[in-house]
Amino acid sequence: MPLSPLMLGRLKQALNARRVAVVGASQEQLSVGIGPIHNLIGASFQGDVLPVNPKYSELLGLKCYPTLESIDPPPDLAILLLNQDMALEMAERAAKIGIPAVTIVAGGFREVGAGGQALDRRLLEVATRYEMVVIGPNTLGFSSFHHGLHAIFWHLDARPGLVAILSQSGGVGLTMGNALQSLHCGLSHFIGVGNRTVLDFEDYLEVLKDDPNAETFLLFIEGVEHPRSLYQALKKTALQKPIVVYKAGKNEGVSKATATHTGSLAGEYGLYRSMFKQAGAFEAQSAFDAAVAGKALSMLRAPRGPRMCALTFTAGPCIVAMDKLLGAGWELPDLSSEAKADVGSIIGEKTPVDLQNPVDLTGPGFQPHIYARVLERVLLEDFDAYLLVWSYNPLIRTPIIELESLAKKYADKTIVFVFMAHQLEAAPHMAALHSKGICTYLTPEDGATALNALLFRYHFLKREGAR
Amino acid sequence: MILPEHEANRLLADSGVPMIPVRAVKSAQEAKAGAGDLGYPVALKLSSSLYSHKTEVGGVFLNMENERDVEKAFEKLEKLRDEIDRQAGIILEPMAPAGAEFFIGFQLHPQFGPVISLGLGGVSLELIQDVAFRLLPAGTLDFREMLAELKSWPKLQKGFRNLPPVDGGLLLNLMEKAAEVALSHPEIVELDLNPVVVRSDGAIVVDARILMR
Repeated sequence: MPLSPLMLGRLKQALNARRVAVVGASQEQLSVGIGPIHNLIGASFQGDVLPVNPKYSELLGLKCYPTLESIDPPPDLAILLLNQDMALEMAERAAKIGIPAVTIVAGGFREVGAGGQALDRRLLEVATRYEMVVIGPNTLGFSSFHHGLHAIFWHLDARPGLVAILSQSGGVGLTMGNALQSLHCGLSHFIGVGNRTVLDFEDYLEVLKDDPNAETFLLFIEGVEHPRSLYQALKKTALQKPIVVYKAGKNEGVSKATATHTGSLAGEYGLYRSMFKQAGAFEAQSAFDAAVAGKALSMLRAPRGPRMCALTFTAGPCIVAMDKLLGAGWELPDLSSEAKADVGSIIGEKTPVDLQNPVDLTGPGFQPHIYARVLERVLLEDFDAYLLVWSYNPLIRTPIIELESLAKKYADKTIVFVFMAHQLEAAPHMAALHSKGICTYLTPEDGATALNALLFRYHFLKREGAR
Repeated sequence: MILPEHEANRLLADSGVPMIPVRAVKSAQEAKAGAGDLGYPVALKLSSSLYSHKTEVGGVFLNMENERDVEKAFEKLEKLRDEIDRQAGIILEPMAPAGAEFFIGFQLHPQFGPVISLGLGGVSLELIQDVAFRLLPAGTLDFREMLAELKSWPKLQKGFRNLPPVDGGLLLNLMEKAAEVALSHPEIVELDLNPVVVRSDGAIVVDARILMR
């Protein structure tokens, strides 16, 4: 059921909260209660952090309140770090004094069975009666990176960026966040949706699709009760902003035998897959692939078509990339004879190369000025996207400056750069490339995944535009 | 409940789905006369709401070339009817033209809502499970993507082995029609069109099953 406009407003307010109470706050290093305080005061959060715990009058240098009710004026978000029974009671107290939003960290709700289901129902009743927003229960919490608002008790090292993670699992969500971080790609939001008792994926999407900080969504989905509502929300959002999904639970048995083939063929995962495709949500096959796709979709516009050119001076990486790219529908048209002649004269007539697409420059190609001149020549050709492969060698300058200026000059072309180096030596170069808007990956397979996500977006927008 | 085949056939034909013509026959005499009208070869089947898998109970006789075979088949089906379902009818059909066989299905899924499926049809359906799904309502472009998702499509399209080539447009039209029928009859819970024979000169549904609520 869609949320009321009041609750949607309250969710938006919670994601931008200014006064945050932390109920059950603690200064014990090994407690859950220290997490949000540590994360909030350790970041650039400009609002008020309001610990609540009758055991302390001061906590980590902050004034500590004995009760939630003693905070005046009331906070606009309360993080409840209490066990499930106390959290439920505290949620009701929060609602009664008009607090618009709470986050409940505790598990022990419906995920543990019948007893927990009763708690979930009571929580839903309270939330519905007071129109109070509840994030969780059974969640790490959430972070709004552009505000330094870390209503989360665990650690996620991320810089502010354009990708919002909505995850049904804290662990997988963090894995996707870490993967984005390793790709030098920042986050706008991290939301552990938990049990989704009050707010579901569609509610978060409804609010965040209009948030200018969130440009691309990464969803980790285990399973939902109302896939039809999720479908509608995904499609509505995807028309505005790209979505990547990573789905767990692929091996569930197909539905019980039915009278017809239709009933028995349609396994649940098969339906999810089709639904994601139809809704315009790119499906990734791992948390890392989700981050790879999310980075590309947040940095680059969808290509104008499926015509691709690959440029390299080492053949193998292009061959493995092509395995993934051609299967996804990319086309690899030949260069024009004029372009072949021009490229031939740039690399020198003596080099025995049979110029095709992928354009393999062999030996001369690792000279940065030659690589860049050939790149500019093939950019003049009628291709929609370019896969550029560069094998790193610390003795040779990487043509980052040329890449930057060519990417700017040919801004209507989709360019993905594969920088083959190990994580550690690549780090400073990756940071530089990212800051210049060059979408870069360390392996040809990742580059191909990124391009496939972009091609998927092209097909979706084309299909929807044609309606 | 499962609609008897001749009723499912009528419902679909009335909605404009190209169905193989089916006639209920009450006697061996009628069957022979009907076969003469249709022209040989013909098929005789039991049409029962209790047994949707007719072949497994011996309720299907195909490729009959003459009156003698029709008469024998009719007698066997009458005997079978007395044994397993006194309400069942016996139906006469022309043999389907040779062509690539597809499957078009519909299901009102408890969570996903209306879902359409398209697959490689005939006996390969359950073995290979080359099948694609979309939530309804969906458009022609979605149906076209479904067709492109079938692994068997590129080979079937060109005419696989001794089969004639397939006009994908005819199949897409049929999918649209099937979706329209399913969505305009809220009492339909599941619908199977299998096989759907498609060539370059036409498409026809040979067998249909409908599960009503």
